[in-house]
Amino acid sequence: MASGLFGPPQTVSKEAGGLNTAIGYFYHEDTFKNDTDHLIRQNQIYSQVAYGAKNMWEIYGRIGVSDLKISDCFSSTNVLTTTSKLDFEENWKFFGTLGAKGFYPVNKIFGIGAFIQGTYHFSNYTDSVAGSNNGTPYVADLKIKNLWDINAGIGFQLTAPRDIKLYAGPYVYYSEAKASLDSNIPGIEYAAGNVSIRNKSIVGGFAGVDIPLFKGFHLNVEGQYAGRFSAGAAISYIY
Amino acid sequence: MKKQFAALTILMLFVFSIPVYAGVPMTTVEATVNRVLNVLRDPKLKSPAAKEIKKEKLRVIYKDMFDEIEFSKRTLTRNWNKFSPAQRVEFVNLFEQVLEKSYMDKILDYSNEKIDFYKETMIPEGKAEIESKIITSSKEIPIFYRMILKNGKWKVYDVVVENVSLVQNYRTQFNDILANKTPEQLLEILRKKVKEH
Amino acid sequence: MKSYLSVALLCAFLAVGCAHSQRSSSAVATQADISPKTVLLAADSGQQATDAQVKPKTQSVNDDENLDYAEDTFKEERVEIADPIEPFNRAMYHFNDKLYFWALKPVAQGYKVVVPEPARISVKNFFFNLGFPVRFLSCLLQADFSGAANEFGRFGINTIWGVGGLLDPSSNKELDLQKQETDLGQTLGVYGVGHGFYIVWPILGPSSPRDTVDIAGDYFLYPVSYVYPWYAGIGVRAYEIVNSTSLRIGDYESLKEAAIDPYIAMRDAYIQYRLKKVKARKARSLIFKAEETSAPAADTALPNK
Repeated sequence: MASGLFGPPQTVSKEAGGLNTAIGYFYHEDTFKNDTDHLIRQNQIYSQVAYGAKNMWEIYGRIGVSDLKISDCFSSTNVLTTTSKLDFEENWKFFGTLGAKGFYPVNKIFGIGAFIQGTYHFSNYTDSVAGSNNGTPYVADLKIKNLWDINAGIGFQLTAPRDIKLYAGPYVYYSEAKASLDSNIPGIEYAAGNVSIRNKSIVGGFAGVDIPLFKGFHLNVEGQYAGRFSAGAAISYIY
Repeated sequence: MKKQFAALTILMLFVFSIPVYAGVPMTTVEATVNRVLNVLRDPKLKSPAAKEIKKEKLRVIYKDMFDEIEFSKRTLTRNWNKFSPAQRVEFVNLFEQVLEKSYMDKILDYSNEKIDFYKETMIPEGKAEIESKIITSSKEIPIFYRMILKNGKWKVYDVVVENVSLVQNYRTQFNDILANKTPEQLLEILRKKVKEH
Repeated sequence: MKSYLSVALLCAFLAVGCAHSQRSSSAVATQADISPKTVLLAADSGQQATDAQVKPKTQSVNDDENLDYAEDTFKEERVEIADPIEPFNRAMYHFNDKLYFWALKPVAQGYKVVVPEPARISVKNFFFNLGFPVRFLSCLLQADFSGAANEFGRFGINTIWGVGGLLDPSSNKELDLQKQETDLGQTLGVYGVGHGFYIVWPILGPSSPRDTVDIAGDYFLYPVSYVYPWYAGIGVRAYEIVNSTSLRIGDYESLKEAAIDPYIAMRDAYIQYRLKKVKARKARSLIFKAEETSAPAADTALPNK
């Protein structure tokens, strides 16, 4: 599971070195696997501060909030167990992202870059499920803890007229979280204790565009595909 | 030949009418401030020992830039008439020293702040106001120079810093003091102020 | 409101700075023809100056003149303020003076040593950004809608792209959204409410009944006032004051140093500063724009002390 845009391989900061800040939205879909596959969905809103220089490198940090939805999380495989709902849902929780990128311009138009970006969700996502097992009612809380990911990729960039940057490339990623249900319910996949869940595919591709708007603002739109399609947009301001 | 004569006439006209044209007060102040900055930035005068030389150079520039009598008169207003000519001379001198004591070290502390002259307002009867600002890392300080044309030369007679006119500020103080004190007593206060520290 | 104290005469230096001293050097002697002393000597010894170049200068020191500058081109109106409670005010002035030199300044100096300037400027930006409600409301009340829009844009942009207000992208050249440093006291001034009289509040400094309304309004509109518990709010305020003081150590000292009577100098600086601010706000107001050219500002109508 990746978090947020990767952005253009080349920093948008001034050549002499400077800050750029952004606010972004990212819609994320991915498939997680444990015993069975689950579709996972997140809406993330974040604020970014970046420092870059020489049109070659940039480091950045993000703080944001995200929701989390895991489909069919509470579906029971045991006929004796009924559940009140199937999906795990939790609202806004904090996460932080750190990243770095380097860029090598082959010529004025074309260039290659590489990046690495990691995200950690500080807060636990919690949802509770109710139902009955063999006629006995139960309530159980499922916690998704320590959700983190790391992404690394290579980006190819074309600079179009008006300083519009088009970019695309492959990336690899790994993400993991601990799931734990506070009591064992027969037929529900997540049992008590920590169960690790991981992303199913580890390779993806991304493509995007960065367009200078007006007065120092830029618009960045990007899509990522790794089994499922994710996309987002950010508006950045270059100091 | 004719052409040359015409050119000469235009040149003469230009030379003689300089003080009337807009732009002269601004260039005057700007040039003077630049002279001050040149003294402050002079690498030869960087050593602490050269401080007195710097001060002396700045005094000369000050004399050239300011109309100190106009300045004194405007701070004293009608009270000026209560001073005898000798007292007036002493007042002008003491007042200058008070200002020097207060501001000289500040000037010498100058560390490459940017100074921007951006507006000139000409006023009939030979006056002008020049707007400038000093840009420091944390703020911009507006400084306006009020100038008067005397004997073909533009001289500063008031400085307005962050909307506060120095002349007005001293006028209020002197008025308050002279409301129940004599000119001699005011001079005594100034003498003490100059001797302090 | 935070900047009354900062009426920084500091930079008058480039102007008034280098007063000529009596210790005439050779360099100064070359200028002697315009020195009052020379002029006076010439006059005293009975030499009637026939040279037209000298005469105006002779007059300038010796003759009585009509020196009422009230009708001057720069509208040097008498911007005086009534001061009926002067003894109280002077006592408060001395209290604030001691507070500054004994407590605030040492703390701010220590803080200045520890925290680098860019960080302190960011903190100042942050608090300034928080003060958005009172400025926005004041602009609206003054019918300065472009100012209100400016403030709104500044707040949005600086909060979102300025890392919560720590940075000030709005002031950059490209965006150029000017700060509207206005308050409710100025708003009353725009509507013609005069100062009343001069009050020096402990800690808060120079004010008047009119501007005291601003202190109260600012309290309710400033988010820091709602920090819970109350002593945390006071702590935040104190920190804000220390931070802003650290950025202008020396300003008050120069004002005091240059003054013959610092109390009067401060009072006058305050009143001039506020008057100009109100005038500038009036010129921006849709209601008062037109009348500004003819009618004098509210403060000028005050009686002399």
